[in-house]
Amino acid sequence: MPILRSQTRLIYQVTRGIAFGLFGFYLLWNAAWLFSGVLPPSILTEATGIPCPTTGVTRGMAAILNGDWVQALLWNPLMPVYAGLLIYSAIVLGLQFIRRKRLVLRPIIARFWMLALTMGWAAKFVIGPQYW
Amino acid sequence: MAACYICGSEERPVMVKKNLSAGGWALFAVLVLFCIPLCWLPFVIDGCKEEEWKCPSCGVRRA
Ligand SMILES: [Zn+2]
Repeated sequence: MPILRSQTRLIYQVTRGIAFGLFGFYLLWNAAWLFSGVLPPSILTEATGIPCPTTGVTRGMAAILNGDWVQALLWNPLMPVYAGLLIYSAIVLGLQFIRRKRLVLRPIIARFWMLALTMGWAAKFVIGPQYW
Repeated sequence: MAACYICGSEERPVMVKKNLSAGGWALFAVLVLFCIPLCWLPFVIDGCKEEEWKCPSCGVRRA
């Protein structure tokens, strides 16, 4: 039992270490790009050419500002869903924060998020690389 | 319910807080890579957390 416990602990600490490392690397990556005056590209897309579930959201928003809804949806068809979930989550978490409660989303909302991101990612491949 | 392995108290352990689990940290890492704007999600999802329990008598951490 004590051995199992320390192994679990080790896995936990390694995973957390990797997560922190990646986060730190990402911050440096963005800082470097912004410093050179360029909008930072996504690490994953840059390294592997694979799009992310949220790839195209920035360009999609630019398209909406131009009134081009079709282009916006082609850039990222899940954008309205992301927007809805984001607004809902922000309201829920904001109220919890004001009331000094523990910040937590209901499991159904958590599932909606995961589903939306998976669908958004799949949609990138269906629409094709011209919109990556 | 097993007794506390330090003080032998048979009182029910109390939940002190919820921490991100190893799986939660893994999801955080994936989100950092794939979509950083949403990397906060594991921190507000209970399924990504593990509970920390304490012996109410001596305060040692318990499973
Ligand atoms: Zn105890």
